Amino acid sequence: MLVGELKEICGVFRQEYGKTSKMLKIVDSFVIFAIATAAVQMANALLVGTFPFNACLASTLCCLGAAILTASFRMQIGGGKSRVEKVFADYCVAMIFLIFVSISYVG
Amino acid sequence: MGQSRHRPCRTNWHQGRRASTRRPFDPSTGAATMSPAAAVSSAFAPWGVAGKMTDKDVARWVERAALGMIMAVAFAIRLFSIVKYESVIHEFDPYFNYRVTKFASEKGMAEFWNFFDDRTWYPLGRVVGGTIYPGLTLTATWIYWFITDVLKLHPVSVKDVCVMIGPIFSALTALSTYGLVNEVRGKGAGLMAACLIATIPSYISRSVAGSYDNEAVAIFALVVTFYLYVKSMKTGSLLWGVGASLAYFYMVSSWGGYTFIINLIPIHALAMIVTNNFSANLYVAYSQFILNGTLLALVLPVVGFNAVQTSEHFSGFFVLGLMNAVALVKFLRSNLTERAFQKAFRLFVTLAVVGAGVAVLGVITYAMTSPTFRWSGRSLSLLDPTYAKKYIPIIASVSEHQAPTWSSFMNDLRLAIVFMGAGIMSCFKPRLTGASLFLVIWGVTSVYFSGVMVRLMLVLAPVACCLTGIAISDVLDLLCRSYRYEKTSSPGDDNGVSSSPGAGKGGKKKGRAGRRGSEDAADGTPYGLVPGQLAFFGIAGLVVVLSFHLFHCSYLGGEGYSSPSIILQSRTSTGDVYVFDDYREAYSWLRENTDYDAKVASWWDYGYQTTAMADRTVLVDNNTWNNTHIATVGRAMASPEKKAWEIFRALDVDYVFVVFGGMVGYSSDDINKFLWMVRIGGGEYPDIVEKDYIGEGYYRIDEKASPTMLNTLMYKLSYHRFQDIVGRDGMDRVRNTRFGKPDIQLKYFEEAFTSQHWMLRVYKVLDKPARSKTGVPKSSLKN
Repeated sequence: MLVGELKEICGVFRQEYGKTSKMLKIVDSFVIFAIATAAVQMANALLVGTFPFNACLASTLCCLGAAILTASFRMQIGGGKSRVEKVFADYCVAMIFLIFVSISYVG
Repeated sequence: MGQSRHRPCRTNWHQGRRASTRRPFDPSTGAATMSPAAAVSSAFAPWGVAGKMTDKDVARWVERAALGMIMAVAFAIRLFSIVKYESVIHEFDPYFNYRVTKFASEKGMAEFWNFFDDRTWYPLGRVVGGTIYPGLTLTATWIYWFITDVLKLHPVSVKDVCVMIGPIFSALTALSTYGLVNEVRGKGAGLMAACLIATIPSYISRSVAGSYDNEAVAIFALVVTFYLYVKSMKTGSLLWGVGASLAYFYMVSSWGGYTFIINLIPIHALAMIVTNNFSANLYVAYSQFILNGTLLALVLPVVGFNAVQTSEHFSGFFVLGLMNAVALVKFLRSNLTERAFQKAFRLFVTLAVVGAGVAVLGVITYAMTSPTFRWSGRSLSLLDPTYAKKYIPIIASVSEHQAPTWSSFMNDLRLAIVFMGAGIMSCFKPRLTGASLFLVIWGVTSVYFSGVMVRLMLVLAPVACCLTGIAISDVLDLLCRSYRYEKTSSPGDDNGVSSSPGAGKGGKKKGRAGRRGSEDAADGTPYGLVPGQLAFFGIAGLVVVLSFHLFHCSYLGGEGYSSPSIILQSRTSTGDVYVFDDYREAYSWLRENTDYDAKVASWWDYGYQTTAMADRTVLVDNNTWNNTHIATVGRAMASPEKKAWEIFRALDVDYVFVVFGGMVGYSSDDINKFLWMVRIGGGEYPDIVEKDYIGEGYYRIDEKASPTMLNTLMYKLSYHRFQDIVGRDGMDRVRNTRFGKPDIQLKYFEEAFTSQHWMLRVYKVLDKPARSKTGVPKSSLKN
């Protein structure tokens, strides 16, 4: 029953999600990619160890930060209220800042 | 408030009566809608775009002039100490900051980060580069370099820059408070709040010229962080979020009180989620702030891995997870049909509850099992005010950590504490927005913490000023509108009802032009206005009240909070000022007359001053990071002379000094602090028992003092040769009793120097006991 419910939900989701625009889908896939990268890093930390802890933290937080920033970007253009170019410019500055801080911390 | 009637939209009382089509400075439409270049250019064009001075331009220039005057007053009111005393660094902690700043300005940044101080905590030393909050010292260093290298203004010394940091940054705090309250309510409230924080005595006390301590820049960083965070929350812009993260970075680098921010913002976000106010803007602002903030806090050596490992930071991550879950649910909802969403939601909730339960369990076991990852002692003593007294006497002994009395609330906050409740109520009208909810939560939590420790009154001061500014601005708005309505008194001219939208949610609600609800008076007067004459007297009364508040603030700033505590003043019988400069006299004696490598022992209060002014190695100082070392010194002071001598010789001490106020009536001397030495020493060494030192009935130093007390080193060093000045039956002016044991003779110590008013007494630790008892009177040398 649980599997059946899940299948039904997934079917509906795929149907409704297909209605979103291509750009939003690309952005969404980047969010998922960033989260997946962060998960890979956390798995590495669990298995191999966290020895240069600052490097481990910097890389994981950078991936998570990228995911969150992209999700924020998606939230703002998905609503359709602000101009995409302006939001994208803010997004670029925020990403550059995040990557700059991460690189300076990764040592 | 159960009726569904419309309140008239409150207009900002600067903006005139008519709604204008262009509103470049209207905070509710959000400055983010203008490009930065246009905003800057229109800010400085005196005639606006229209080409002539309109009401709006006059208002804009009045506002700017007011802001300029507020900043000037904030700067000037803190200069009393320079006028009354001199341009000198105050108190104790600032001397350490000054020493580090001097070091950084001479040796450069690389040396600063690697600074290991071997002149203190002998023989342990102290890692300064990795354990101080560098914000204050680096700010002063860079300002000093800018002034001497770029502006080439000589002679400006590091001390001058350090002394002036407080006034400069309090002017900037006033500016940021204006910005913050402008975001919440409007320009009038912003100006009122800025004026209040510029002059409030609680903030003056920690940022007076010469008080070179972390709070001088930290309060500025606090308000700026909150301003930028509220701005990013209102506009939902990632750019403002970057600004907020940078401001938070500056805050983390300036003060340990940054944990207040990193817990307040998650509490506020949680409140927004719980009250069903979750929006994209909140997610954008909060998640970026927490992530960037964590990454930036990790960069600083003083915080380091604590930013992800100590319990004080966990609330941010917890709420971040919660917020992501809520965002995910909303995303699912927008991509599923209703039925499917219900099913998915149930599944998700079960999964989430199970997952969250496991995670919380994991976090709790992790925090409980590792002793260093629980809450730190200071944080625990905030949550449970009795914790420090039971477990950590050294935290309990600091005078700033005592609970404040009502009189200190009234003294330090005066008007702000009275109107603060009205401000909180004002935040709920016309509607509680994210920004006003932030102020309310900040206010309530600050009130709790300020009730725990008197030094945290400083965290209450900015929010009390903001809320008071809102309350007074609302009252003034109503009164001014009533007065103007009376003056124009044409029924069709409903000033306050039309024009700008309500504060808070930017521009979404249009002004309700000309609508008259059922609550208006019979003759058409809009709801809530009072008669004109009443309004006039109301305004006059409010002006009088505010003036008295300002008189009080400047009096307190001048008389109460500007003393440097290293110089004391009193009035002679003819009214002249008499200066007691004993501290500096003794420190310069030490600097001139002892070896460079001599070790000096004293109670920890004077450690920073000794290393900075006397430039000698000390055993313990105000950093109090090593309780055992302080307990050793306390034990030595509380032991008989021979035992103390052995302890000091084991630590290579050459000189011991005590502070003694008995001759002039200076009550912050070491005999008054002695019971704390006993308590702290007794915390580590069980042979020191407090009740042994209590005489008959209470702690006393006359004949009825306990024999243990009369034998301690502290007693002997304080009262040695005191009978030469006051006679055998003389009185100790602080305790107001005769002292218990004249004819004190020292065998292991030798008097080296006593300052002019006997306030600081320096003794040399002899290598071998003296052959003859050193009771021969020496003249008190003043080199």
